Amino acid sequence: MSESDLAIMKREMMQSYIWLKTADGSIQRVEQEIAMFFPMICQEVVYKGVGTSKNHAISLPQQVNQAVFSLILDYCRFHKVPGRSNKERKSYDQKFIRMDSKMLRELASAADSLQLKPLVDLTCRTLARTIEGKPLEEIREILNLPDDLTEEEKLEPLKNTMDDPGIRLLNRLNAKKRKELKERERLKNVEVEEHAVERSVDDLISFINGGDPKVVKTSKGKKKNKKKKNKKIVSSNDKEGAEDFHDKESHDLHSKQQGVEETGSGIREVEVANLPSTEDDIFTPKSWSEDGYIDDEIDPVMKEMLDREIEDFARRLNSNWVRSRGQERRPVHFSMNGNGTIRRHIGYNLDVIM
Amino acid sequence: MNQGDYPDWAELPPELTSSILHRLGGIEILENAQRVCTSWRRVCKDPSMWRKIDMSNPHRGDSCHHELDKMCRHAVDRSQGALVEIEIWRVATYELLSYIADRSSNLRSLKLALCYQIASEGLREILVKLPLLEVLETSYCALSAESVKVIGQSCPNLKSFGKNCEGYRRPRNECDDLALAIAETMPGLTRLQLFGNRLTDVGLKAILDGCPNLEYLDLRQCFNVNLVGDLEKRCSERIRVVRRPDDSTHDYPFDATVHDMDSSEDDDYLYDISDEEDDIAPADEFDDDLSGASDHSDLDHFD
Repeated sequence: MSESDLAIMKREMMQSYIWLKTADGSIQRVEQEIAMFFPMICQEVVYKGVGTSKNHAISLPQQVNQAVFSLILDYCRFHKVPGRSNKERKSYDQKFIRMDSKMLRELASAADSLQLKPLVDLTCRTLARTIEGKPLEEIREILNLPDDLTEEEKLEPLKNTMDDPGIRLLNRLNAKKRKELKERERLKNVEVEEHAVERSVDDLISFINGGDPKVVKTSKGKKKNKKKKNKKIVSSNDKEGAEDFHDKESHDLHSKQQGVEETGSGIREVEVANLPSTEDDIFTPKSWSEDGYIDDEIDPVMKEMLDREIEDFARRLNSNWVRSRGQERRPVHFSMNGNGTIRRHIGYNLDVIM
Repeated sequence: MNQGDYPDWAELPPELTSSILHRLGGIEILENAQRVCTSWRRVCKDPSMWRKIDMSNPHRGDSCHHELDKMCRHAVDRSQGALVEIEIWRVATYELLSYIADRSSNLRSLKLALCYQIASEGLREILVKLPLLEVLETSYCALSAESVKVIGQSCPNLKSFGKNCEGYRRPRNECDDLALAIAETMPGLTRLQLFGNRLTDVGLKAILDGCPNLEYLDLRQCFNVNLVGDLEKRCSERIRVVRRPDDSTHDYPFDATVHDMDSSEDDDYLYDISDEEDDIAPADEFDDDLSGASDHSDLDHFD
């Protein structure tokens, strides 16, 4: 044997190998300096003295099969070489992680089990990038994930993050305050004209109450509100407050209302108060509904909404009326609907069905 | 889809899944990752995911501040008091930071960027509540020299400090207040970043005197500094990494456009100052309704 051959042989013999067994049973020998890269292998070799022969190969974790392991070895062999620049390493990494996500996942898992932090970082970073900004369905597809959340869980609103009770209370207080302010505003407007209208309104009410049993039923015990509502209606419609009249009383009321019209000239100018009324009331907007009859079963929330709408509408009517007052005093015409309710004609060809 | 494929992800140790998902950043975790499947949802709700929170997401131009604010609070809630690091871009307000500070006495690192809604005094007040802070970085946020002094005194463990703003080549406005404040109150600094600062050699010298442990010094776009002679020697000898005023800004995460106004025209000079204000004023993302008075529950669609 030549000297050079001997030298080579010597070097070969000097090279130590560690014997490793992958999860799928394949036994390999790996250069010691590479193998010692992995902390757990180090431990096994140093503390348990295994891995020095084929028969005592160190078993790698179950996540490390042969294919994945060879990839990992490639990675280690490249990076352990000291002379490489950062640019080179980065470039290698970019090429290295070009694989499908299933493989990436296996690689991440294997690297993690071998505690190879740089490779774990690399693979996790890459996996994150593959799902970044993607829609849910696509993510599930790419990574073979089950769609096993309940509909609720998927849409789950953020639990009240304003868990700070202080903030929640503040919200509630603010809303309450706003509402109160609004109400106070309305009441202020109404009170100004209150007593001027009271008597005629009282008359009206008693008349209505006496005349229409249905009306009585709905206006039970709500005298105060009725008054207010009356005011509103009177001022806005200018005469006809109550909407529901029986045939036989219609023209009595008509005259009554005409009377009111006379006395109520000042009323016209009253700002229609947006009086809140959530109770049943003869003057509730139900009677203003297009059907022209009272709907007793109306939902209170709806009622409030309608209340507001009607008030708005009434206000607008009133202002229109006030504007036209200067020009002429139009008599208010009543006509009968088929179902016994009164229809009032306002001067603008605008029919309000009551 | 092969049934056999599913178990693979479930076998992935949760720490690994957590490590992957964590890189998406707080907002995407809450809005996206958490809704993919049950195992991910579990991981996303675990407090360990929320020890370090990244609310930067520079791409997130669409979400209004109110939503992001809620998300941030939620993220902090999930940490269950174990929050250690947080980075917030744009949406930080005094209220939000108070919320965080009150629940995270262990906070070690706070990074803020482009947060126009919080004043210097507000920030100062918050930081006084975080005595264990080791890292503080503000980029394009209001922070006066006075506040820095208070902060330096309240946070003795501060190792890394950064205050980044727009660099002006001209006009050559000089100001050493901040540098002096740092030199005076932050002796333990190992890392200092003063991108675009107006300090001069005087300030730099003070820093070198006052912060003997500096290992990293970033003076990019600090055009009033002349790194020559003795100063240069001290820097290169004692500090491991020095980024000089004209060094490359390729790794700077913000807009590194240098402002170069011809200061020969006085009008321009005055214009520049207000221009600077406009520059850093928020443009369109501002959600005016930050009072919380209205109920935004209809906007909630994430957990």
